[in-house]
Amino acid sequence: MTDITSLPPETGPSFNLSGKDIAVAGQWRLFWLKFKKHRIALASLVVIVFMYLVAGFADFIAPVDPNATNARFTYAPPQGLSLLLDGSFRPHVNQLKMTLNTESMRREFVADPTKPISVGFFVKAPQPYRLLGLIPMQTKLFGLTNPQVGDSLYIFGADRLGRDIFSRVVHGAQISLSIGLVGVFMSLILGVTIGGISGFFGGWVDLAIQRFIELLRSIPTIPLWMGLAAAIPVGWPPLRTYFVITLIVSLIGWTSLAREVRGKFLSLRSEDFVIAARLDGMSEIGIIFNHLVPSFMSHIIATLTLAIPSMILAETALSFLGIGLQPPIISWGVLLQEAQNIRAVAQAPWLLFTPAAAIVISVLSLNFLGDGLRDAADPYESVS
Amino acid sequence: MGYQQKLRGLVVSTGLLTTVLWGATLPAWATDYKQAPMLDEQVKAGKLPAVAERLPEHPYVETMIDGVGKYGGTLRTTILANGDQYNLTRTIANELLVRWDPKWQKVMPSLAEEFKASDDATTYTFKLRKGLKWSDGQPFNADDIMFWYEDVFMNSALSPAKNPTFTVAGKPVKVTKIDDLTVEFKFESPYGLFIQQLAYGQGHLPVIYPKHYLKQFHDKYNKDGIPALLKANPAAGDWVALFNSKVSLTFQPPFWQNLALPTLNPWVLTVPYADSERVVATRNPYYWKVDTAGNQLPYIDGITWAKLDDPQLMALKMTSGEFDFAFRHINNSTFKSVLFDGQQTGNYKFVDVKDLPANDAVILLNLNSTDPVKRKIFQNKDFRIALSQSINRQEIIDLVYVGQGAPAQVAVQPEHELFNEREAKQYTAFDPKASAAILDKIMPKKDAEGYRLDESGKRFTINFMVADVFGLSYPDVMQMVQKYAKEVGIDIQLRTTDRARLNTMWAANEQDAYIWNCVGGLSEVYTDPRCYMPFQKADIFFAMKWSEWYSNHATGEEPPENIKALMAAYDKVNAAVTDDDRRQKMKDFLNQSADNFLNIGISRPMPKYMMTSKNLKNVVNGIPITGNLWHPAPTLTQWYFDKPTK
Amino acid sequence: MLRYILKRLVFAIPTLFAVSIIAFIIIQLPPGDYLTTLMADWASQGGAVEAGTVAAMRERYGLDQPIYYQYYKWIWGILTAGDFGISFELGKPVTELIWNRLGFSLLLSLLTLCFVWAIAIPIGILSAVRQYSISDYTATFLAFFFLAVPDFLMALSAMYVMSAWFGQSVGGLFSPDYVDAGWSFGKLVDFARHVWLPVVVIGLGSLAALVRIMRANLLDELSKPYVTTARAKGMSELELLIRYPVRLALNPLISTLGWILPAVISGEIIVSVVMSLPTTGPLLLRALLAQDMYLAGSLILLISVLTIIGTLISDILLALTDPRIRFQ
Repeated sequence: MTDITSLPPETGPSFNLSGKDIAVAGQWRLFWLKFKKHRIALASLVVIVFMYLVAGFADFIAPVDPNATNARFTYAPPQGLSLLLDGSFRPHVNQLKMTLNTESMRREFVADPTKPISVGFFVKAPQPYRLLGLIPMQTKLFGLTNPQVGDSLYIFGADRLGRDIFSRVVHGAQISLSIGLVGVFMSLILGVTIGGISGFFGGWVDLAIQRFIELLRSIPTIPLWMGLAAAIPVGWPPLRTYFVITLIVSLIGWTSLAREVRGKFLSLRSEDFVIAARLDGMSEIGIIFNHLVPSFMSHIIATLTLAIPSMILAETALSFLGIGLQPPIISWGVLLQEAQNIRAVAQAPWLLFTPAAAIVISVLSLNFLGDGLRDAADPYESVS
Repeated sequence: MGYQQKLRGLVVSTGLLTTVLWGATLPAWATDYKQAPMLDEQVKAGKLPAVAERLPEHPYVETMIDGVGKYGGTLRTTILANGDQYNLTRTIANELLVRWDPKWQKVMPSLAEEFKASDDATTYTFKLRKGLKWSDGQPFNADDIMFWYEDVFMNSALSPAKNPTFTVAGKPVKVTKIDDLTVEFKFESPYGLFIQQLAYGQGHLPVIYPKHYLKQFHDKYNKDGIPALLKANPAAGDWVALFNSKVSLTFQPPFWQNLALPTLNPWVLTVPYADSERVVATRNPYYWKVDTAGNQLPYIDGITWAKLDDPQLMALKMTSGEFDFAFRHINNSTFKSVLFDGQQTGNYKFVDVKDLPANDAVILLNLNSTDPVKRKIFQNKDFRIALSQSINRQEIIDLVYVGQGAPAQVAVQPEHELFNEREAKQYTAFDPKASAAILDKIMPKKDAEGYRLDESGKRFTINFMVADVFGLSYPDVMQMVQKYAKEVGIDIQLRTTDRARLNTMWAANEQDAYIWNCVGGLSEVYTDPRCYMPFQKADIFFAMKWSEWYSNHATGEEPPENIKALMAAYDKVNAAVTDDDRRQKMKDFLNQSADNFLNIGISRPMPKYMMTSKNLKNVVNGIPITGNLWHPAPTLTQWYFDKPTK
Repeated sequence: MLRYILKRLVFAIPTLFAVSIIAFIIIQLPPGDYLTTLMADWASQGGAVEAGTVAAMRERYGLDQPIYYQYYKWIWGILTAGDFGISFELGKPVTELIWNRLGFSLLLSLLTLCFVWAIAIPIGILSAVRQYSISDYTATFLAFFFLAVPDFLMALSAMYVMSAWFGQSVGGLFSPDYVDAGWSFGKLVDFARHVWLPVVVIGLGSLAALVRIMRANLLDELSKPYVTTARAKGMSELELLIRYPVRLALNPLISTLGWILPAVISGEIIVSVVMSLPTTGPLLLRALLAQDMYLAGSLILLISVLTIIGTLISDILLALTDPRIRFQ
């Protein structure tokens, strides 16, 4: 997987702030003022917040259970949602007419424009559920207002078992966007601790840690993942397996972070304020956590946003190898892995496009956000 | 009285097996054999003897499907780049002493011109065709079979354990050479199924060891020369490793890496199954079969296998017309839709393949589970009935198998004479109420989520191993089963895994349950009842300790009386001498197996398919294939292109 | 300089040693061994393997020995005789199986690197010169798009499009006519016609990072006083760009070799399986699945060695080309 966390800082747009604000602005305020100017990053932030909201409210947004199968609608194509019917606002989809072709072993569908099925917002859910696992709910954001036998609502199509791709992608966001966070959090702990030690103490400690990082990075990731994933006991429940897989993925992620942290430490440890603290008799640990870490926290946050996409991609690679997450857990990687066959590519491209689009949008947004954060965090960037 | 007549008399008098005598009278064209044009020049140049000298005195005469064919062309097909040597075996390497007819109904002579069995089903005599030759032109005769028997099979270094095809009750066969063309196989106790076993792929052992070539690698024949050979072969540490690297079973990789190894196959390797991106075979000039017009087979000059790593690419290349023939890996419902659309561009048609196991998806609960609570519940027939009735089979078939299948238990297929309707249909009706009623008696208590509790008060959970194999979408099937089981309060946890991992678990008897397909849908059920009773340890493990006990009473665990009775019923099948008696005993056995209801079947299989070029003729439609029936190999010799390909 | 290289070489030795241990541990992690694979294979062909045969084979392959002893035997063979052990499944010495494939892997990686550089540098320059323009955003968007689409999916889709829409034969590195032929001009042309697709598929994934680096480096240089001076002196924009800033901005790109190489090699494994390339990837994957331990271990070891060498070369190149870097 491509490593995108070790990009050098980019020169962002130059900022023209003026007036008294700047003179008195605190570090975080300054940061925000600079960030605000980076319009793409700002837009990306909005997109990301939106995606996390979708993930959080997946049960409300997804019209059906992502694991609900339907034999009538295997590989059903997307049903275009039209808002107008006969000139008035009546959201609807056209009913799909299905014929079973036993020779080619597939179901064939024709949309029938004479049979519109009404779609409504805030409709009653087929089953009660708990939003965020807490709030009991009976309403879905949208769905069929009056579902009859033979009706369907597949706005992004259905998969091989007649499951709704839209609902699956929405639910997949929960895992895919969190595997990034959890993985990155672990990388953060490992990276800051080990990188910090390496950079602060220097000498043979630094040398040993650097050799160790070089060692980890020289081992091809795929055999490493396969070996580790195969060592997970089969009896473990899916959730625990999921956690361990996240751990495995972050095993690689921390190395680049550790390098960055080390670099920062190396350049900061001879700064005046560190020497002053040391002369004050502050302990080494105290210096690290009271002075050094805060001074480059913003930079770390930026690096982390850039690390999330590589976590998401690593998870898709694991799924491809068949050692990733297991059903009934859904992630974008799982969805893409299910689309990794000639049938989907040739005859059901919606299986591919929908999760791929979700990944592309989130990876792009996170990258732009990371860029923006990094520029804003760069103290050497002029705010003249 | 000549030996041949005596033999014929015996066969007729015992009526044991349908024996056909080939070449008893010489056809008029016997001296007028023809050969492929590509061989003409070699004969002219003196590099090859004339065709009549290369063929045996009485060649095997192949009956044709569409008629006498034309020589020429290269058959382009495909193989997985690694671990797919069976594909080669099943395409070109299934030449045996005796063979099944293409309909899988009777055993016919093949390399052996005649065979007979004794009345007590212990002694079998084979007379080889006179003048058979290995692919290097050296004669094949009884000495080669004796070499296998004395120096390979009975050599404890080369065969630390004896192949079960050639053993009865743990005692290996005794093979004796009668004359240069006749050998006798003698067993200590009755073994009525021997001829059937010998006609399956695993019966290839006696005829894959050319003595004239292999003796140089054998300690007994070349003790002094071996150290020098070992030096030249750094991979081999001793003579056993050296020998094994030169020849192995036909479904093992080394067999397909040694270009120097003489064989009796229709095509011989020119590019091995190793480093290159393809495998190539060319016709064997000494092949011993002819068509009805006296043309030496095979018709097709050569075969190329493109080595691919991913079945997706196989399907893509098939649809773009890069292959003339393909079936393994892409002949399941997953690919059918794409392949169907590609018939025009790929210039191929679909041919039915009767790959019909006893069931496509079978739930195998571990009756010998190491967990005493689970073991007790799994061994309870009522529990198995309840689980069976909780499954909506038709829904699974519609959803996962596109309606191709029918609700059924593990059973012989309806088209076969051993079909038993009760066995196939019992407990297949979807009846969650009846299921819950039974379970209420076995495990009445439930927890807050509605799952049943076992005796100890813990939730009763089945950890179900699921491997995505055979293109049968087991993970999808099991997700459905999981849902149905939940409805009746049974907690099934799915654990996706791969075949190798599953194998490790089987060996250690660690699994609670898994899903697999079950052999035994057609005639192989006689020799391979592994789904109908605790039998050999191969890939069906529902009562491993009992099957260990069956093969050796000193090991494993003694099963309960009903299972012992089932085993005894099968022993009677094996001891039966006549076809009729064997059929009757087999029916009794299957009936008893149905009473025991050991496994839960889901769907009756439907025929699979293969793709052959529209230009190919003489292709058997509906050829049967199973794990041990290595088809379509013996039928490929008569395939021919009626139009030249590019 | 020489001291620096020597020092790096000396440091590489313990790393290599550790890699060999980790490689061996990785292949031991999954439960079971090669014989369990073999038993599964036999079962699928209608046979059963008797316990006696399995025990005898386990002894023959040395699988009944303790792991540390197996490791010792393996590493000792490599160090003393260049003997990497044998592949159980293929019954051949590992050395016979891997060099050819390793060669193709290396070639593919190098071609991919060349491709990525050839594409990334002009795009990076364009992005930097026309910062915050439509073309800058488009280039950035495309680069990240290719980064975000998993390479296995890209490989299958690309093959389908090339095959179904353009009628091109896909997969592998040669046509059947040339597979077993010796190298000739015809084979070279054939190779070129096959190799571009995997190169593009693997390369596009690494494109984003390089474009961003090039763009950032160039922007750094462009804001320096000498550029302003040159511009003030009336130098043409193109000449100005090529003469110094681009050349200087290229330097840090060399250091990317060290981390792009592992990325390309890892990406190559999956793409090679999907596209059936005769590289180490498919062989390694199969060896891992079949638990063919010496083959898998040797491949992991050799790929790691390649990566370490790649990093070393990039560091040395960096030292040679950039006189500002000093060594003590």
